[in-house]
Amino acid sequence: MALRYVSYFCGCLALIAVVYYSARGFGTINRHLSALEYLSEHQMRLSVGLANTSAALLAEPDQAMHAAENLTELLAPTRPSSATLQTDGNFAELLRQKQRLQERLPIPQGLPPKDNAQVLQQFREGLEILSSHNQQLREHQKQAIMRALSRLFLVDGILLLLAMGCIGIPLSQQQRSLLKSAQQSNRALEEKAAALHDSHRTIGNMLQDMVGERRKASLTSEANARLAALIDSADDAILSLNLAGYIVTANNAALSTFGAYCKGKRFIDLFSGATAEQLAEMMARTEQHNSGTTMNVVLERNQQQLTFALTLSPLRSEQGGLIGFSVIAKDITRSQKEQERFRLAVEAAPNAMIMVSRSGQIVLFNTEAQRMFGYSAEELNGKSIHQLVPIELRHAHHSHVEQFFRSPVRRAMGREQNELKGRRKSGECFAIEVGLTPVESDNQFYVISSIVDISGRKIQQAKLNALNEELMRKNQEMEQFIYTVSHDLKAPLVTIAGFATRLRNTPDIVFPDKQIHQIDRILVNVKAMETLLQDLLHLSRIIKRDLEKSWVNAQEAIDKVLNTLEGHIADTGAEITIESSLADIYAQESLLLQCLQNLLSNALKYTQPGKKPRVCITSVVEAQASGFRIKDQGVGIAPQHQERVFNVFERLNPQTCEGTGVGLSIVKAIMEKHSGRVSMSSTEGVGTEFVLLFPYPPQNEVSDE
Amino acid sequence: MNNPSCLRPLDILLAEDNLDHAELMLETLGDFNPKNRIIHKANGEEIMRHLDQTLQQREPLPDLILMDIKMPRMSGIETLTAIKQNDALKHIPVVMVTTSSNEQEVSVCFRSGASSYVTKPLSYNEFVEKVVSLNGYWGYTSKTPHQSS
Repeated sequence: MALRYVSYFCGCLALIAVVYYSARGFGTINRHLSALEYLSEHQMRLSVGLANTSAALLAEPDQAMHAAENLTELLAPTRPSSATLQTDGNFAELLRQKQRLQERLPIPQGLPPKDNAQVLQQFREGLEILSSHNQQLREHQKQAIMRALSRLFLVDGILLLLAMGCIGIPLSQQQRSLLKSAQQSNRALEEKAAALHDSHRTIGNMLQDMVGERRKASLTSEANARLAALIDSADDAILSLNLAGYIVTANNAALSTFGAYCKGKRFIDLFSGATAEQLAEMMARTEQHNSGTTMNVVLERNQQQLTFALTLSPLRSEQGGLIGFSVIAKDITRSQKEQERFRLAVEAAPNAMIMVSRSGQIVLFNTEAQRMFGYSAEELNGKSIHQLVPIELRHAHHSHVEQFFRSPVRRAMGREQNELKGRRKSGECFAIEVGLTPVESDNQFYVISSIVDISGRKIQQAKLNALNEELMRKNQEMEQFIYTVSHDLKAPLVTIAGFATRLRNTPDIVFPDKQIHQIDRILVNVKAMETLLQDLLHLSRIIKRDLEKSWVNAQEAIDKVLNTLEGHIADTGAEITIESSLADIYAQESLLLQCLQNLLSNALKYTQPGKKPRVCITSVVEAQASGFRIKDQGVGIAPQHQERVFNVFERLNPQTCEGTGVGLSIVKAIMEKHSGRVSMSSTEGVGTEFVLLFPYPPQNEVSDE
Repeated sequence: MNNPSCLRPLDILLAEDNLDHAELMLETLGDFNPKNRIIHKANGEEIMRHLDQTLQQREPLPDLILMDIKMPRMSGIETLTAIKQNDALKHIPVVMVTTSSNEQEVSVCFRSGASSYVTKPLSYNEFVEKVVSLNGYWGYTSKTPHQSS
């Protein structure tokens, strides 16, 4: 271990050394390279100098001079950089020699070539020596670079190898050892898994064996305890009996129900008389048929009658042999009472009530239901509700029942406008109305349907509708008749009046006064006839047209009518007294005015001879109705005529008074149109009193009008 | 009103099934301006036939049509509708005449395009006054619409 770390350490050291040595080596190479560069540049200048000198030797004197000037410039000493000088001592020495040689060079003067040739020659030789010297220096530098490079590679190579050796070898060794150990542990795990699998299978087999041997006993002891606690804490009494019917175990509820010392007793002995016999029979049956049975028993406890639902089931061993019985006794006293109360409520209902389960089975019904459908209680109990539906509707009824249970909400049946029908036992079908109410009992949905036989009502309604239609038709015919009559009767009148007028106004003939009078009588009668027809037409229009009711100020209405009667009042000198605060009237104003107009003009008209008319108007208010009382002190109406005054064209004394006899008919028609009331009381020779009453709707509805 | 001569004589087309009424109206209208030219037809069909002929022969159309509402075969309202749907005829003013003045009837007349409405009066003086006022309107406006076009 330690050896490995030492090895790693050495490797790292070697790596650091590589870096250090490389850095140094590259520095050295760099210096040599710059020296070489310097030398190369110098070499170039020397070559140029040589070329120029040769040219100066051959050329014309002025050119040679020019060349010589360039030479001095060319060879102006340049100093190598200090880094270059540091390459090695040998190189510096050589450089210095070169410098000295250069300084000793004869400088050619600006003389003609023949005088200067020697100097130039010498200069040229000097340059050649310098050049060769320089060449040597460059060779030297190149060799130095090569040396430095090879040394660098050698040393770096050795160091890198060393580092790889130091780090790589121990690493690979460690890897291999790790791999080996992983393989080993894997193999061990597989072995263990196989062992576990084996043991699992063994345990599974064991468990299966145990289940097979003892199904219930296979529960762990904890689960057993829990089950025991559960049974003990159950509200229902739970007992187990052996084959002979003796109580073997009992839970707490059983102990409190059948007595603390019931264990070890015969279960049947806990009951008396008929109940015990029934129980014995039940046990025998259970033994034979191998299925649980339930019966209700009554037990007396602390002077209370308690009802229990006993469920007796066989207990069997693994091999299937009967080993005893289990008894579950549920106290249903309260629910039975509730059921009884419910039954009584259903029974007391005035309608036929039928409770139906989800499957359409009748579970409860009252006597009225039996009577309505003509079945006995035994026939109805447990039967399908569809039996009470006409055969042709049964299919649809099925789906309706299903639909209802899918979304059970209280509703009236037969919303779809199609009439509902029931079917009596005799097969007779009859119209019904059904209300459905969903109820939940024992976590199950039921529906209570309340059924009303409406066949009688239907027949009555049909009759009424027929009558109504007949009446409407008659009414329409009547209106049409009145309209046509009044229209067609007017046409000849127009002719009569027209020709009579023309005759009377014939320009060329002057009639004697008597004939003029006769023609005038024709015209007056035609006019009277026209008024009659107009009144008749008016009456028919009142009956025909729709009402537009609103609240009318009674005082204003009376004022309007009195205005139109102003002339009449002034002529007769009538006294009219009006109550100061009159109640508003809910009516169509124009028709209300018409009523007042007719009654008031009557009151002014039928006066006792020599007496001024006196009329008194007061308010009448009743529940949901308001109106007037109009009382006069006129001629009055004899009792035998009073019934007829409202008839059309009825006039009691046509000779004395003008008028068509339609006025009171119109009043009556208007009041009937308003669903109101007009009444009259009169004493002959004393006066007549009319009371008009217009109904009004409840306040909240009035605002909508 | 009493001086009818100031008014231009009119071409009047009268539709009336009641011959007595027709006679009365003809005479009354003649009295009021003897130059009035009045053509009487007994029902809507005859009126339409007469108007078609007038159009075909390019004769002048009537200035005014007086028409009873209640007529056999083709009622006044039907005829009125037919006239108002015909581009060549719809400019002629049509005055409806009836025995009863039923509000509904009146509104039907105006909705169907009637220019005015006259109730058959018992005294023909009223009728004359009405026609005079109508004629005054059309007379004083000097030209009926089709003459100005």
